[in-house]
Amino acid sequence: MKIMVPLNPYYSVSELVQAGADGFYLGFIPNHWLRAFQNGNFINRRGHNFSVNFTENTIINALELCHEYGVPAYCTFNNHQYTQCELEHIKRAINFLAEYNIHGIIASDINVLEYCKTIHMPTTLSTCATVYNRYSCEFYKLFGVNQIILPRDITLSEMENIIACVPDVEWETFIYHSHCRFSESVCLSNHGLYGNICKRFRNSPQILCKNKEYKRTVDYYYNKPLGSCGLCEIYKMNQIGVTWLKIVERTLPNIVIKETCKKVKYAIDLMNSVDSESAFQRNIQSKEMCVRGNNCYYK
Amino acid sequence: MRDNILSLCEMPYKAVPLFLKQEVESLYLYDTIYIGSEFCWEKLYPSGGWSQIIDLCHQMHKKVFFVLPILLERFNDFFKVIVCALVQHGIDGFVVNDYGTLWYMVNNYSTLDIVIGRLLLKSARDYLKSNDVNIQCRFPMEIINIVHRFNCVRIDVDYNVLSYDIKETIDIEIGVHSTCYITSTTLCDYILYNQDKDGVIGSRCEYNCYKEFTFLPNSPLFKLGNALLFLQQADSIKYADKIIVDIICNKIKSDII
Repeated sequence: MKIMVPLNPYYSVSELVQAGADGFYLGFIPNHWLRAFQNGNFINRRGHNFSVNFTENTIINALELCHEYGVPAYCTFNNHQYTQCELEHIKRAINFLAEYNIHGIIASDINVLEYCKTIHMPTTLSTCATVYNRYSCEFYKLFGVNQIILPRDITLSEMENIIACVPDVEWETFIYHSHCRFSESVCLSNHGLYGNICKRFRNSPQILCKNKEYKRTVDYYYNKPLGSCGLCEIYKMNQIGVTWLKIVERTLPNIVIKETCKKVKYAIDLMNSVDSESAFQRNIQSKEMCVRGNNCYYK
Repeated sequence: MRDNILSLCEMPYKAVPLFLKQEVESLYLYDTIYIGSEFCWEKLYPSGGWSQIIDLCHQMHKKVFFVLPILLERFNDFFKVIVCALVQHGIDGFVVNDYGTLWYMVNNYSTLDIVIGRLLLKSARDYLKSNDVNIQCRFPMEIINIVHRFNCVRIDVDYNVLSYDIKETIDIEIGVHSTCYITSTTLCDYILYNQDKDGVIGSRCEYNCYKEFTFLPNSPLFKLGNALLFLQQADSIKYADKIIVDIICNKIKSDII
């Protein structure tokens, strides 16, 4: 199993590789996009946040470092869907990245996927595509996807069924941080720019507490820390065919990402060193490793 | 005059026949009835419960379309059963809300009418940004291509998506939801009512949430079941081949006002 890690800033490639990173994903806002749309149209799901997106100059540095260390880098153009005028700029950005040998593109828009297919650019299907069933995977394979990121709110048994039914793609799952309660593929708010809609409800929990039972659900979904972990399930994930574990959240400080990376790497090494799932579970759920209570990804 | 669609989505199947009989005099406004659910598979049980409704609508000379939520893998077996049962009972078409469902329908029921549901049009919908002038040409090309490629009969959109542009520039039939627009769906709060002891989400839910809604104070945002929606502010719709009247949201709107 390999670890997919957010990259920011570019000069952290070295320390993240040492911490266990096997691949990087990153955001990119080219100048021509900014000139065309100011900040009105997002190029990716973190498009409003300039500090987590690379420019032409910095992404070249990042890609050169990734090549130097022999790790693949993927650029994310994962806004749900692009308009005609946006698409022209996305194609231009992909061509630019292709010149600097980017390993692949993360996207969910079918037109972007199709374009990548025509220029033989590998693609990873973003979780923003609504991939909750086997037929969706078959559908997106028509557009040449090589790798599919499964949604955060899918169960392990669903994961197993889907993977068993859809051959010839690599599978990536969320493993750490940012367990959003909502389905990202149908989150249609202006995410992050004006304050997230989900947080508007979260910040007013008393509204939702109509009765005792409902209060319980509010506690479960809204009052737990946002960070989440799925480490205790990687033994099972490995068995069913997941190859990439994704550490989420490009906005987190680099030091947090590095520590998380070490933790995931430790879990993978542990998995490889034991001969049964129960032995793995005993060790991984130790006090040192399992610090987030029941705020789990796949429970 | 535009044709109208009456959406009875989210209404439990047992309540639908009674509603249709009570409202029979006002049904002349509509040529099509939507049944099913946009958001939740739990509301579609049992698969055989819908045949009476299809018969009733056909007796009233209305077309019946079944609205399918995003297909979750754990409902795959039930999905195939209910689609098969509905087709056998003469359903006129389906409204699909994810590409997997579209792909299945195209491959297995190619002669049926397929409508692209509003969850597949993912333009941003947020009342806080509705007046942002920097937004340009919001109608995504992806949807236009899909409608042509798979011979879909129509695309259903939320009103505020259409308000950005552009009926003039696209050549596909458009149905417009007139009361509310959707902004997100989520893991359902109510599912925990019936959660298994081990806390696994995905266990069957029998909670009847269709009458439960919660407003965020001082905003048009409300939560209905597992969906977040906004009440529509506009009174008139300029561009639409069909107008979709959501009966549940209409009821909520009238309760509030």
